[in-house]
Amino acid sequence: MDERKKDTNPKKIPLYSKKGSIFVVRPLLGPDERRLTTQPYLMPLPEAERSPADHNPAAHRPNEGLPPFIKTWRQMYALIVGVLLLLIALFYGFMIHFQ
Amino acid sequence: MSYLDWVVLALSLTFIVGYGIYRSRENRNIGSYLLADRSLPWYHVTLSLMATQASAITFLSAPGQAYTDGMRFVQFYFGLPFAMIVLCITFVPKFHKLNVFTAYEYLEGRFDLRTRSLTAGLFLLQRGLSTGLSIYAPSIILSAILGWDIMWTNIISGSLVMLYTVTGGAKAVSHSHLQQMGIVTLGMVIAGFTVVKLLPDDVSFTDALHVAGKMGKTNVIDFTFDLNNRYNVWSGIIGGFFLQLSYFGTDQSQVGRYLTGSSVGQSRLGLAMNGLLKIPMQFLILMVGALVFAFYQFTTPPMFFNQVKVDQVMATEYAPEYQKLEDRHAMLQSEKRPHVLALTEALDKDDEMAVERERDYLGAAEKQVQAVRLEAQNLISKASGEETNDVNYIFLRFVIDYLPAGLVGLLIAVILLASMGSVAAAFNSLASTTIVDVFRRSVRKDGSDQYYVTASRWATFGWGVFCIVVAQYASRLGSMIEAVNVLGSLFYGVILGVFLVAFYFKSIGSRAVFWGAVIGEFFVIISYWQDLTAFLWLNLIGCALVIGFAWIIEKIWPQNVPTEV
Repeated sequence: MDERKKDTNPKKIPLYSKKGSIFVVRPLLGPDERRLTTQPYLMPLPEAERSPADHNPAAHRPNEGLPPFIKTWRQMYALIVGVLLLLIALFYGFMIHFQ
Repeated sequence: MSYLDWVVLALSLTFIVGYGIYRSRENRNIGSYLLADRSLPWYHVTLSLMATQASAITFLSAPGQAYTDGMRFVQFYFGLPFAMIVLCITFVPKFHKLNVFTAYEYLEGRFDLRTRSLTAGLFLLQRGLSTGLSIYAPSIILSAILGWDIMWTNIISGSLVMLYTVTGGAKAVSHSHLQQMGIVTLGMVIAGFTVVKLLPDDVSFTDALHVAGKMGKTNVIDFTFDLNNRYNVWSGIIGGFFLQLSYFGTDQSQVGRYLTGSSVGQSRLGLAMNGLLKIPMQFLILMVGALVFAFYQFTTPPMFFNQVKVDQVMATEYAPEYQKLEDRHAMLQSEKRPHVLALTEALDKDDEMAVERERDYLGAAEKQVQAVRLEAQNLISKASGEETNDVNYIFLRFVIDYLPAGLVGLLIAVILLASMGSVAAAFNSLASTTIVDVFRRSVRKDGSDQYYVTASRWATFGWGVFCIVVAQYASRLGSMIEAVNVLGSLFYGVILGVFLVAFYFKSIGSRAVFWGAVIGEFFVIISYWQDLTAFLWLNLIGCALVIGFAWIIEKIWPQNVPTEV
């Protein structure tokens, strides 16, 4: 909450959004003023529009849910593709052997 | 069936119906009834996804498919792991973030109500028809066992599922899936072991696979690129990818399963594990079919596996003609048997010359057998006045004729439970879409939670009746597992195209995507009607047409696309 309060500086311009926030577009700012800004301006979403991730951020970490031996979702996807290729090779061997 | 079999069957059905009613007490609001409060762990999600996809059709039709056409059907699933990855990356975070009840709800925010209604309508049509086929599958069992007319078995089995789904909601669906998949896996493993045990003493498991393989039933992989070949690696990976992505990404019966996950991570892991487990599972089911084929090389099989139809034809003027075909079939089988034994002997002795010789002979003999079977099938069709096919009866007939008492009841319970799981998930999704995307959105917006729960129950009931009516016509469609996938391919590609435009083509607006979808669907139906390509490719074609037409329409007739929140 403290961090969010610090971010509500009206001179700062939004560059990206975070969970529980939306973009606020200010088309009237000139290019010089835009260059000066480095931090996003975040406006909290109304309660009704917030997702479960906003209420319980810990449960929505990027790598949440992964099995213990896999560190990232990329590794998980590579494992899935690897298993498919292995299965195709094994099935091919199976076919050749029994045909 | 023995007394013990009936007890096992009755206990299973009572348990599931009772469990559904027991679970209904927890449904206090629409979120609980339709999405189980979004509270389930990944293994619930995985097993629920698998149980929804693997219906009775999988366990009845797939072994029959392997018996008649070999194991090449497994290639159909090669696109599934890639589809799971795309879903994990794109669909799951979007749906979770927006807290949607149905996939189509997302489309209104991105496009407009018209596009949401179009995709929801296509889904309701496709899923309603497919679920009719899923009800028909277990009805075959009851019809074959009891000798009842299939109309009554459709009504009874459909009503049983309705009873437990109307009351139970998503929680009952997901919890019962967990138990069903355990029993189903156990049942199929036991069936596989039993087939091997029933083989002659000197014929081993590998001998049986050799026999099936030498007669063309272990044709698992085909690398040939051929647009008119239904099952090869490429149609499986490319066409199958689009079909599975459409099915899991845009079919509410599956979206509703992973939306029950307690977080993005749990839903993702559920999908990822499905990508890892589905292909080996399907391979093993098909292998049971190949083993049943091998078993029937040592024991004379029925010429036509649907006994009800055989009895019907034997009561007509075509009986003598059918009897002649049966005699010829039996003679061909008995002529084949010494050669099958010679083949296993040659395999044991590593006599390659003899193996080659017997393989050639058996290949030719099998063609003759298939020709006789086809003649019998045509005769039955002529006698009954409707097209018929026995692919879905092959495994069932084997179970009833050869499995010991108790196991028959267990396996029939397995098939019925699997069917209940997938039909229940379908009813739940049809009700969700009807209530969330149509009724609550366009008919009555100000109802209470309890009011919508009651409305959802009525919607479930209404769809149940519709699906039972559809089931009456399913017997004319040949292999049901194919019929279901053909039906899906007609609509899924277009629905997927709409979602892909929503996710990846930010400059395309609602008007372009709506008309792109309408034109795309028209061309897909024409392609199928004119038999221009194998059905799996329709998924890719439908998807590409929607994206292409939407892009062209947007260029010609631009629309200001509102910024997405």
